[in-house]
Amino acid sequence: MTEAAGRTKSGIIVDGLSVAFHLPKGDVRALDGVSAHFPDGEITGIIGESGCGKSVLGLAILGLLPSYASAEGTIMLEGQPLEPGTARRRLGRELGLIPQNPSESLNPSRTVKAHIQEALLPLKLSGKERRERARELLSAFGFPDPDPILRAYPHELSGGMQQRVLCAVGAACSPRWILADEPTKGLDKELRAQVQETLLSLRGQGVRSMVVITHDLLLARGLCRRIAVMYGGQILETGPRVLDHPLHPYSRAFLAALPENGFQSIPGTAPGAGERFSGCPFAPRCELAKARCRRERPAAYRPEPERVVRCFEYE
Amino acid sequence: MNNTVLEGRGLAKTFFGGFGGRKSRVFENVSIGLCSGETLGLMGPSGCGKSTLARILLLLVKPDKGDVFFQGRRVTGLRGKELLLFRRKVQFISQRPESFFDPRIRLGDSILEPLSFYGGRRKAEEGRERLKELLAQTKLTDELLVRYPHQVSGGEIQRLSLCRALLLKPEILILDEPTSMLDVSVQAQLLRILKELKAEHGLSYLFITHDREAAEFMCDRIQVL
Ligand SMILES: Nc1ncnc2c1ncn2[C@@H]1O[C@H](COP(=O)(O)OP(=O)(O)OP(=O)(O)O)[C@@H](O)[C@H]1O
Ligand SMILES: Nc1ncnc2c1ncn2[C@@H]1O[C@H](COP(=O)(O)OP(=O)(O)OP(=O)(O)O)[C@@H](O)[C@H]1O
Ligand code: SF4
Ligand SMILES: [Mg+2]
Ligand SMILES: [Mg+2]
Repeated sequence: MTEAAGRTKSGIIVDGLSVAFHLPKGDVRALDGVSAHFPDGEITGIIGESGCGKSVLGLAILGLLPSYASAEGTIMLEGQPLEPGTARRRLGRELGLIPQNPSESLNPSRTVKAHIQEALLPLKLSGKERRERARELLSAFGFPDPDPILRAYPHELSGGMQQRVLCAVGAACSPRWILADEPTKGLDKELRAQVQETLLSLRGQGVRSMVVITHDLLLARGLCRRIAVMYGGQILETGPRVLDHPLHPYSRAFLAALPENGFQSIPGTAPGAGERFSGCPFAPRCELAKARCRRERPAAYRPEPERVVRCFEYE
Repeated sequence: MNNTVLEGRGLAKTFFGGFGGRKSRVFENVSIGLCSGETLGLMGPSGCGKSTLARILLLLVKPDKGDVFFQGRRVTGLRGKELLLFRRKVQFISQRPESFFDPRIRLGDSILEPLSFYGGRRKAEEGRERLKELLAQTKLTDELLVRYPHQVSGGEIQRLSLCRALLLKPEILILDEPTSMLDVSVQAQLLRILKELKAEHGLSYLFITHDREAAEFMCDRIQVL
């Protein structure tokens, strides 16, 4: 059926996942047949243009889509189907989330301490152990003096401080899987490096695997062995050396837009979530596009080991 | 300099009562001057007070000491009609763009609301046209306008907040980490658009960022806090 099936059963396997939001003014298709394998024991990065469906993919895996969304396809965790209800029950303890949006995720009327302590509940620690662990977490995420931070309310923290509190909350229980959505946004270089170090070090403490959604390509390079490139609600390329050696025309155009190449954006606009494609979603912007690309959807080709590319150039 | 359009002189700010009753001194005696037509970068480590300084310059937070000047006039403590006029001319892109949108109001209404507030119905009509252009320039579609803030992606709301600010044709724009939720390609597009708009309309920017490359691309000079 797809690239994911038939391979090792370990990890998270997403197969043919489509997600649509049903709004009064019409449907929004956010994911369009996503198939991917996030192997156990690895850190996989997801990169791609703003609005391409990265966060929705994360929410779908964790069973956190709103009620007006519908999903087709399957998600498997370690060989078992992962239903939204099961995923939500495992949230925190086995599946940790570092969400993208601090304002929606931190409760303005509760202190940082309350947030972290609640996150630690599943561990059934004593009061003293919990306080110790909370301090430990905050100092690991760049607060050398955690005590005043524990007493603070979210609005008393700067943007970068809130971001790091979110990281601490998501990692609190050392869940086996962590899904981090833009864990370094709004941080300076030193803190970005520290968050990267801390995420890496979590792997020695019970965290086995991560999915890291990021626009921070330095973080992606430093943290992730495998990268998935998303576009228009689909994954167009995955593999271990994507950042150094991109094969898909979209991946290549995306990486050519890196600041060191002079702030050149990819010409044209990414598809809106209302658009549907029978062919390749990148065709309207692709220099190599042929008539067939607009008609037919490229299958998953494997030009080299561990690499999957959805482009006819690799047929 | 005589063409300074927005200036803070000898600013000091301490928050009391936060952190469970502690006093937190953010800065003492900071001065900053934004010249007409320039892009001034503001950089510094997390928590050093960049956003607080921005809020003081926007008259959203009162400094303990010091004053804010707009086009040579002291504006600290400005009220009523004059404050409204100031608010229109000096616009802000917050580090947390979602906090600038009412979660119960459709994005399109939120974006156009200030325009009819300041300019009445005719302005609102013009605004609709201009908004279409801005959406295209920031690589968004107008299909987003009928949604609520939690129904768009992080980078989409960040760009919508920019559209909202630009629609009011401000003279000064304070941008607090305006591309923190954008990928490299959309970021490049957005920074280029900001440069074009500046050249076209003689805007001045205060550009707060952690991104050295973006700062160097955008800014005429950089102040470190
Ligand atoms: N609750 C929702 N209702 C309707 N549409 C939604 C909803 N959430 C997301 N979308 C749409 O689905 C698409 C994918 O959104 P998603 O948040 O996954 O993007 P993203 O890749 O995370 O982008 P960013 O990098 O900007 O955060 C976007 O076009 C967005 O507008
Ligand atoms: N309402 C408040 N009450 C108490 N302390 C506050 C309040 N607002 C901000 N602070 C403190 O003031 C300091 C400066 O915060 P500010 O948001 O200005 O930092 P920043 O330079 O913008 O940081 P970042 O790069 O992380 O966004 C921080 O230590 C913060 O905790
Ligand atoms: S399938 Fe065709 S349009 Fe799509 S990326 Fe490949 S060459 Fe370009
Ligand atoms: Mg997102
Ligand atoms: Mg800030």
